[in-house]
Amino acid sequence: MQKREKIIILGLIILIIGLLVGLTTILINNNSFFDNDKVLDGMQKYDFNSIFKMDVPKNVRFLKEWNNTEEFSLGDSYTYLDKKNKFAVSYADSPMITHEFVISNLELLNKSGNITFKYDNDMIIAHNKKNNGKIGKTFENCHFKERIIVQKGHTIIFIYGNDLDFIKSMADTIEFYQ
Amino acid sequence: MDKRLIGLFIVLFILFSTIGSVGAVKLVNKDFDDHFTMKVPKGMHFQKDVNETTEDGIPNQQISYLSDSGNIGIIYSDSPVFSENSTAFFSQQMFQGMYPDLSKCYESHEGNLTILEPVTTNEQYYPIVILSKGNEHVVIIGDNLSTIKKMGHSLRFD
Repeated sequence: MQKREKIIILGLIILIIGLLVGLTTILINNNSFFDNDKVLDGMQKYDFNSIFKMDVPKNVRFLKEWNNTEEFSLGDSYTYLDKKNKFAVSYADSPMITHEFVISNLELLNKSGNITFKYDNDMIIAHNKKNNGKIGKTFENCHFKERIIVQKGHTIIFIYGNDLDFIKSMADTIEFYQ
Repeated sequence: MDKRLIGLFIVLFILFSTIGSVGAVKLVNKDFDDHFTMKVPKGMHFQKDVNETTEDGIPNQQISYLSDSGNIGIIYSDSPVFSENSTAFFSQQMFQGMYPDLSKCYESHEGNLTILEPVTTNEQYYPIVILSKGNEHVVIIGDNLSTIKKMGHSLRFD
C-alpha cells in the first residue's frame, strides 16, 4: 500500500472516531434521547386524572371542578385553575366530541366576532377578542385571552391563559395515556 | 444581665416550649399487617375492617383502619385494576365516592403524595392524601392536613 493511501485511511479512521465521540457526547448531553420524561425547567409532569400528562409549573395547587354525576351531562368534564400561575386546564371526554364538532363551534364563535383562531400543527390556537384577562376565584369567573385546543378522539383539552408562549410551552408536552 | 430579665426569658422559653409541644402531634412508626409501615399519632389505636372480593375473577382486597377517636381513617387497597399510572384517576374516584355532593376541591402534589382538599374543610369533609406503588394504594383521611401529610411522607410499602 502506498504511503499516501495509508495516510488517507488513517485520516478516515480518525474522522470516524471523531464523529463517534461527537455523537456520543451529543447523546449524553441531550437527555431527551434517553429520557422520555424530561421536564422543562421549573416544571413538573402532572397527571390529569390519568387521561393525559402535561408539564405544569412546580408546586401548583389547582382548584379542580367537575360536573356532578347527578346532573345531566353528555360526558365527563374537569377544570383545573391555578390562580398563582394564571392559567387553567380543562378537558372533556364525550362521544359528542369530534373534529367536526370542534371546528363548527369555533367557526360559529369566529363569525360572531368573539374569537379568531389558527392551526398550529396538532393544536388550534384561539384568541378571545372580548376577554380582558381577568383571573377570578373560580374558573367560571376567569376571562382568559388565549386558549389552546388539543383534541384526540373523543377527548378535548383546553389550556387557558393570557401568555400564549407560556400555555403553548405546556401544550407542547401533552402526552395521552391511550 | 438583670436577674429579672433572665427569669423572664426562662418563663417565656418554658411557655413557648409548652405551646409547641401541645400543637405538634408526636408520631410513632406502626406496621399495617405487613402491607406497609407508617408513622401515626402516638397512642392512636385503629379498628380494622377487611373486605375481600372477586369480580369477574379479579381479586380485590381493601382494608380500612379507623382510629378510635374517629378523626383519622386509612384505606389500603390492592387491586390489579388500578396501577400507578391510574393513581390520579383512583384518587379522584375515591374523593367523588366519599363526597358525592361536592363538585370541587383543591388538588396538589408533594413528592409522591396526591392531596385532595375540600374547599371547605369541616367534620363532614376531611382532606385526603393518596400514595401508590404498583397495584397498592393507601388513602389517608383526617381532620388535620398537616398530620396526614406527615403520615403520608413516612409511609413505606413492604
